[in-house]
Amino acid sequence: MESLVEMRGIVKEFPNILANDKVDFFLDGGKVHALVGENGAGKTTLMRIMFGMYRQDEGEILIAGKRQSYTVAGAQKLGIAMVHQNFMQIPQMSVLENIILGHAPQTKARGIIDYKSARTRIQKLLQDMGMKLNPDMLVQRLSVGERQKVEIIKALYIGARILIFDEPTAVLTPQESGELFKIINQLKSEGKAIAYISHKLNEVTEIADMATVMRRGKVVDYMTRESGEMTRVRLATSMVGQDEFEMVVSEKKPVGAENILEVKNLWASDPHTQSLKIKGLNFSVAKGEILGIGGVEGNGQQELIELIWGATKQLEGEISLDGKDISHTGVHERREAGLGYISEDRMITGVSAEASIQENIVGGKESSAEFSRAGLLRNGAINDKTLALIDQFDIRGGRLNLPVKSLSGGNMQKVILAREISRNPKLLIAAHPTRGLDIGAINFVREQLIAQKEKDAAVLLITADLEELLALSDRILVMYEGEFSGEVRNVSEESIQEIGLLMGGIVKDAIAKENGGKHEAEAH
Amino acid sequence: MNITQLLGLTVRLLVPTLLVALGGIFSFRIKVFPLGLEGYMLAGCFLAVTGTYLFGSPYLGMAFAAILVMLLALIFAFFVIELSVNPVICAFAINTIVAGMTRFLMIPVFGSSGRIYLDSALALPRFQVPIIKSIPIVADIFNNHSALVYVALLLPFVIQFVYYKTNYGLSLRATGAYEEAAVAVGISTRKVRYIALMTTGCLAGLGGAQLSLTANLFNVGMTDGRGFTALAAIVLSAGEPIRAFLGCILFGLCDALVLNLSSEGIPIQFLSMLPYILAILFAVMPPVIRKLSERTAFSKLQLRIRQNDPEILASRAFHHSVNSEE
Ligand SMILES: Nc1ncnc2c1ncn2[C@@H]1O[C@H](COP(=O)(O)OP(=O)(O)OP(=O)(O)O)[C@@H](O)[C@H]1O
Ligand SMILES: [Mg+2]
Repeated sequence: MESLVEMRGIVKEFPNILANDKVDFFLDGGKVHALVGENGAGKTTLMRIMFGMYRQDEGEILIAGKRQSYTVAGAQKLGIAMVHQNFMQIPQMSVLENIILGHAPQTKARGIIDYKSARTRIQKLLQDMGMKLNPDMLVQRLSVGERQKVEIIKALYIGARILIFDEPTAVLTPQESGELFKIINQLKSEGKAIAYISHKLNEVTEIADMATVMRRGKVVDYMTRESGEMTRVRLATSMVGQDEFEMVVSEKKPVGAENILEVKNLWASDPHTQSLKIKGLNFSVAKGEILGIGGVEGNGQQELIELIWGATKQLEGEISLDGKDISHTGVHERREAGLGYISEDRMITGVSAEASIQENIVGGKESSAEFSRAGLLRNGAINDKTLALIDQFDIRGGRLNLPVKSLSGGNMQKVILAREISRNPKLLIAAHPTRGLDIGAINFVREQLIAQKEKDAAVLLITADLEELLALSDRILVMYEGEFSGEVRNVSEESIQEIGLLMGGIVKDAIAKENGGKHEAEAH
Repeated sequence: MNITQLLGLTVRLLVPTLLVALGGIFSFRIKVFPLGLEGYMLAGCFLAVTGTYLFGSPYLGMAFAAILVMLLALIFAFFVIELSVNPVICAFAINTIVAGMTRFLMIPVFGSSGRIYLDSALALPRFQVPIIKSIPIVADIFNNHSALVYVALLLPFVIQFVYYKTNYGLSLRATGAYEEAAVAVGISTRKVRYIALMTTGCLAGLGGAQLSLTANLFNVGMTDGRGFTALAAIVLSAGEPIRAFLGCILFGLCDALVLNLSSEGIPIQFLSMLPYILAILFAVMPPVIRKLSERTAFSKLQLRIRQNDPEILASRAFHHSVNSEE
């Protein structure tokens, strides 16, 4: 059978790095072809070439057997659409406007948009895909999962038959991922050709029909589901190029007595709606402890991080770090007091994308004696430090003066890690620290967090990934609607069920009843 | 002077600024701050008088101004889009060059300097609008204006339609909001940007033309900061045409009051400040009010928590299960 897309011998070179080195890749109608590989392996680059965003230096692309050379606009005419790693949507516009953007149907009077026919078509597509979305809702009001649906409808709206998904589940909750898989299977049954990039190998084995593994710009392995070769072990080993592969798990320790972070009766509200987001939390993180905060995203985790970090102000309550009250200090003072923060939104609060690696590394510490003297930067010292960290943290493609935005997603994350960890924090807040990282890098990050704990620092880990929560935490608190629905002290594989219930706000019967009783007593 | 006369004067005074503001919105929407409006407007004033003088018709003069200022905007667009010159620097260059050139060209074109009057035969014709002219009060305000006044009063609504109902409007808003996303769906943002910047030139040129042709003269520096007033209207309206219209009405009213009251002995310097004071108030008030109300709501909630308000405590479902272990 002739492939719908065939890429032959694709070569793409960026300054100083060969992102794609003679790569072959194909897509068939009705099949999902997964593309996996380490951070910076060149997956996104290859897909951007297929999508017409980049032009290859060498090699050719055949669409339905015909050699083609095109830009993004041309790709859309050929029926190729891409669901990007960072959504290409306009938050201030409605769902409908985002979908028809660039392809708006017109009335008889040219140039005037036929909103009526657009709406009918979109409603039909939504219905066909079983999606519940209001076309008039502003995109900025949507959850990440809903925004992804918009992206998919956008592709179907232009009649795409080739869909590229770049790490679609990296930002989704498990429920949302489940919905996405249903959608992908439906697209498959309609005969669409699908390219699927992911670092989550269980997803790949679940939905892909074939998988290509890339490493350092080259294809290193190819396998099909039919042949029965497509297993997690095989994928993992060919990704990292080792024979054996295991995820790092931290050794659980009983919680120590000396607290680094103490939070007492913390309350906070949304400044615009005045609704309560954090409702009287009490907890502490001890020296040498990794405290995991689990829960479905949007239950106050983000607000809690911002309060501890000092980005927002609490209504009431006290936060102290190593015995010092920091409740009313600013971000800078808290950093000086020993707070480190690996932020979840790497592009916005994590790094300054336009600035170079070394500027990102020294940022916030530029006036310390290590990096400056008499008000002048010690560029020699800064560069040495940067090079050492690039080496130590294996920041692929990293070099001096390179703007951080031209690193791959995973390597950007490593810049943040390098900066925060190299400052030896007393408390390290790690928010979704391995999101979008390959398994090698995930292990690396896990080792770094464990090393922090072994150095007697306290680590506050916030993650929506259950596996990670269990692998790293010594103790787990589950958040539900701005409160802790429960605590898990002896973390083990079996804790997963209990956590699942707590995530849904379900506490074991007895406790709940007892609570209800006390609760009423207090209220009256 | 009575109130209807005052409003009639307002209409006449607000139109040039309105045209300039509406033009500027197109640039503002694609995130090019239209600091060159003053220059475009002044060029429009001068070119309209020149064109009227050369071709013997105010309408040809107007077209002449609109087209040439649009070409000036094309040069600006070329520098900004193709050569990535900073638009602020480019706009200042335009303002300076236009101020100098209009002064310099007066002598070769008209053989005089400082101020030139057009023949009264070349004055803009005024219209008696059929129905409007017979309605009492309304006639005093809206009747007996020149053609462009009527066009300008409808234009905010036309532009509103263009923004929200046409393909170009959608592309324009997308380009301004998130250019990469617009590119990703295959919109030629380069074209969108050129059209927007040139429309700014065209409308601002017309605004200048209206200013000089209603007065039937050109005067060195005659725009006198109106381009910046237009800019204030744009910023206050956040680029929404109808809101910008309201802003221009306000400024026009202030201008009319100034003309009126100064003849009654109130110091003119004070009155001329009025529109700017109003502009600042209008710009500053909404965020201040919002901040204040957020602050009070915050303190109220804080107090309720501190006083153990039962309703607030009742909003918690789990509190004790975790706390009891502590
Ligand atoms: N626009 C660019 N300019 C310069 N270098 C780039 C650019 N885009 C990517 N690179 C480099 O090319 C290499 C491959 O990047 P790519 O984004 O394709 O990786 P990836 O496999 O998608 O990684 P990840 O899993 O982290 O997203 C990286 O080393 C990256 O730094
Ligand atoms: Mg990528």
